[in-house]
Amino acid sequence: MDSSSVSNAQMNDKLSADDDKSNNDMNFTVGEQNAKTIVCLYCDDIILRPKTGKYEQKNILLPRMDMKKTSTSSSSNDNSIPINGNDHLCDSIDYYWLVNDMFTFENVGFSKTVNNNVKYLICSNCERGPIGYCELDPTTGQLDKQFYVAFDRVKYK
Amino acid sequence: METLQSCSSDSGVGKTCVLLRFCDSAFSTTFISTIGIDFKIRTIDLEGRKIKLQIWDTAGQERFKTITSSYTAYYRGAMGIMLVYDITSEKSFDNIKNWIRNIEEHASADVERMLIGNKCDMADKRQVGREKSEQLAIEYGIKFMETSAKANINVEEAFTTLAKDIKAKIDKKSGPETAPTVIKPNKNHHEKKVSSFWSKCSLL
Repeated sequence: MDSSSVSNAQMNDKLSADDDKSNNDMNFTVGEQNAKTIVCLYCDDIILRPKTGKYEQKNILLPRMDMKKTSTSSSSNDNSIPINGNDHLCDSIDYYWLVNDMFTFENVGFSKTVNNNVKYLICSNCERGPIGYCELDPTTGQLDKQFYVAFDRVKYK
Repeated sequence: METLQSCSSDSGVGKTCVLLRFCDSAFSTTFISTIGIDFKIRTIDLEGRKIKLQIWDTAGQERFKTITSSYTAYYRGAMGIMLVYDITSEKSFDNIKNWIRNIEEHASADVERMLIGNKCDMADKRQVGREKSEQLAIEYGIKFMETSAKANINVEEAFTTLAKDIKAKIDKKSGPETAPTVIKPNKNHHEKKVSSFWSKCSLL
């Protein structure tokens, strides 16, 4: 199977689906980069300026923003990640904006390291999140230079 | 939620009222409140210059040693670093020295630093005296300000002050904004035109 053509098809599906949902007739990308300013869903704080993130397909479990702990019913759901002893319900998210330098962000917050391997991104103003994530290098403990902002967890202006 | 909507401006400075709170906000049910915030990146637009700041809250960082070993690369790219401690926590202030040393070791030499004693509205619970912090700031040649994110005291001023110092420094290096990209030599006399007592200190 040609994975690149599949991902392109899915990307187009995704973009048209989102057009229908909230952002009518909006073109999300210029080339592979974000066409619009990316802002917080809740407080409109600017996260990324146009053409600073690269559209990427990647399947990752991201804890839900409303944060319902599921420590009692974790058996019923595979989509959860244990954080500080509690299972957090997650969404499986496929589309991201990739940023390679943390100072490319206009504004962003980083969580403390979770499970020794990941930091979650939050809105630097209202602190809601996670809006994305970045992984830590398992050997050095340094942040990888790949910061992913979830397509669906931000707004476009 | 409404209160957040009210502080929206494009400059970034106007919104800083909540920036130093670091989970001290009303949103105890948010995801991040269970994990804690490591640091924030904030861009301030000052007269056409983009100033990139990094904000660290030492109050939440309990074990400094384990942190620093992995944080060495984090400062690269920051024009200014704001170190925030909690005036009601001696422990958070004790961390500051380590942070400053770590920044001196790993950040670029000309990064502007600023020390912030937050929660100055909680006078009855104060553990760190103002003088002590002032002394430390002088010792390291950095600026110091007490703020209250809750009561919105000095927060905007702190960001603006730091941003202005950085802008002054950039302007000095690159000449006036309208100048062509050619950098002329022999402009050393400009170095002496420091705008304040504090920016002198930062030239160390």
